Amino acid sequence: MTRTSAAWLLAILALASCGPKPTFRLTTADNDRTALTSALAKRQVPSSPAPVNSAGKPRAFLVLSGKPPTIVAYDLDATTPLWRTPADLDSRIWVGGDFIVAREGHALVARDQTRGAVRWRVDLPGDFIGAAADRERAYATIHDGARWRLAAFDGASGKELWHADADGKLGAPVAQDGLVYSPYLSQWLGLVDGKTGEQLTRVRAREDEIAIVRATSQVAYYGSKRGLYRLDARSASGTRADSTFGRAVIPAELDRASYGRDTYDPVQVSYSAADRTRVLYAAEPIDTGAFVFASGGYAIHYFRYMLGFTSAGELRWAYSHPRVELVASDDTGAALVAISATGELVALDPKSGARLLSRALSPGGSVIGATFDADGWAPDAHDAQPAQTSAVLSGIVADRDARFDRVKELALVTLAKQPGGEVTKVLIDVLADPRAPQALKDRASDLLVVRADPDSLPVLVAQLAQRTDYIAGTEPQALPQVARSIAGLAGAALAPDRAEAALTALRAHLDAPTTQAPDLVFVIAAMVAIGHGSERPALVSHLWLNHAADELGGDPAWAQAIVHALADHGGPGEREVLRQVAADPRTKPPLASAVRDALAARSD
Amino acid sequence: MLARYAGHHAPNVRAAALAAIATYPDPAARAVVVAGLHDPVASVRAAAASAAAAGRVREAEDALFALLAKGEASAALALAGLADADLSRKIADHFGQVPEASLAACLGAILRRVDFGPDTARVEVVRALGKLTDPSATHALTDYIDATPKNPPRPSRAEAEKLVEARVGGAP
Repeated sequence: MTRTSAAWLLAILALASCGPKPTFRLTTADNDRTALTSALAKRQVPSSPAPVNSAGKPRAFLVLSGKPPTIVAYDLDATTPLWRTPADLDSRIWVGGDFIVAREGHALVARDQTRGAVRWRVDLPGDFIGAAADRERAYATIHDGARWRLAAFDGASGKELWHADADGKLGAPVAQDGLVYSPYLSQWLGLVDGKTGEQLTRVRAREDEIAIVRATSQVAYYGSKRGLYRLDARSASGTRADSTFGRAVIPAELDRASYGRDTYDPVQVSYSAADRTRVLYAAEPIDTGAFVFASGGYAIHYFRYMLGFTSAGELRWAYSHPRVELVASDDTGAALVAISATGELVALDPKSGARLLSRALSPGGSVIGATFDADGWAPDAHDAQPAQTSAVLSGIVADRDARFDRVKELALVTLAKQPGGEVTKVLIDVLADPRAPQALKDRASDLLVVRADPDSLPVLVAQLAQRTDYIAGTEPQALPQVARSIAGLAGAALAPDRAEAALTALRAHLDAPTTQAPDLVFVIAAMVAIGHGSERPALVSHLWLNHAADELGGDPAWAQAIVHALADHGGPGEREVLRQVAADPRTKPPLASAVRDALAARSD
Repeated sequence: MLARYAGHHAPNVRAAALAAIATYPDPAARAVVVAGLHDPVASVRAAAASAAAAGRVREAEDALFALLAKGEASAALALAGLADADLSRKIADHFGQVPEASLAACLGAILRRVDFGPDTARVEVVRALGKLTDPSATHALTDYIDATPKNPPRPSRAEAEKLVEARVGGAP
């Protein structure tokens, strides 16, 4: 380093040291277990899960579309709204002790939680990053010029209590029982004393960014789309292995689902489509090992659907909301609650998916979002309705809404794990449905072919009854897939009458002049698979009829199929027929060649 | 064997088999003819329709009516070939249910049959034609008048003349 450049560096450092240091800065220590334990101990965590509001009542704050929007507050145990009021909302709602807070216009506005009246209003300069509230205070993060600032306001008066600046990007804050969690530069989670603004400590996840922060009344979580950490003393390790880290197995078809609001995404400051694609979860408290999902699993809210999964990622129940989307959802620990666009409140049992409650709140408008304050709440389940998972999955598959094509695939794959003719019928219906998306048809085709379910044989035979008929205007549907599915039953114990019916139906297609050569290949294979020799006369007749025909006799695939069926699965009589066919000068060359090759490959 | 060839992949082979099988009185052969009426290839359906008429396959009536509704000329001719007095009434009753041109072709073909009768049945066919507004109905009536000698006088011819006169009378 030259003397000149060293002098410049000293000058810059000297300038940088001027003025108060920001609370959030790069050089602060992190992952201090003692400090973290101490900070977490400052929380006034309730002994059991409970709402934040001072009344301890389960509440929901619905926002109805309109100019201006309308806030409607509900006590979830009651059926009538607590209050409603128009509000120039520019954000979601956060719930404090006896107030709610939201951005209205360019101000942070607190409203009395029991009446909805404006309690105080504080102008917020700059870009609004997000807000939060606990029982006593409201918090807001803004970005103004080069500065990010987290500020606290008294819940009763709106008086600014403190502010803490940052030299880099802050995410939206999350409050919990006197602590404020403030994401910083996507790498740290600052734990700030809600009373003083002092950053007590901060956590850094070395293997993941920290973009998502969620707090219940007792537990806080942080992480990203890649996984989730339970905030506890082990978080000080900074590693997945030594933290309470876990992740839900999110099916690729539901890949928009996330563990919570992205605190850096300005769109998610307001209610958005992201609120309709949520992983809903709670964690068991543990001292060692990985994250353990409460109730043995988690759920994914995906627009109209709520799907429950085991911790291993196996779908265990499904709920489909009729007609309209669920616009907001939450895991209270005791129930999964959601509100639909038309204002129906739904509560499901997290483990079984049983519908504990379905109540029309009739808010008087279209719901665009909602905030729940209902930790620990579950409705009285005296009239719980068990989950109708198979029916729901079938309904999802048949759903005409093109936005859910990938969900349909997931439903189909899940459904196909169950044996039985009803599921087979669903697969066939997809194949026969001209409006079904091609990707879904491809999945159905694959699933049907590998199904190998003897109990489905009557359904497959019924499908084979559909034939080409000019007058009726019908065509066979899914013939190759059905034939391949039957072929998959080779070696299975089939009731003789069912096998006979299947052979008869297959023979009808074998003999039909409209069955194309590629389909005949599968029909022949299916007949061989279940015929145990009884199919041979029909196949011999088919061969004699078509050995000199241009369309079939000249088709190598058909030739291979029929020759293989008779040479390798037939007896001496069938092989003698093959010799005669090969010797017939009218036989088409591809067929004659296939016969000669097959017979030459055999020792007899 | 003919029945097997009626299911051959080549349409011309199927059509030939149906033509050959037409006069076999065996119920299985008649079923093959009926099945041929459902074939997706028009030439095969036409062969089956001809076979149905030639073999007087009454089991084919329903399928032939279905094809008549689709406007198939071969079905019109086949029904005409099968028609007796009762069937001709049944055909006439399809007024409004099948294309008028097809119905006119069918009824006209019935009138062209020298073995169709009695004349009272012909009168009914002529009147059925008279209900049709399609120009082909007028042509069918005209053809019938032209093909039928004036003497001995036939009520059916007279009825046809009356209907044609009523239709063309206002023409310049």
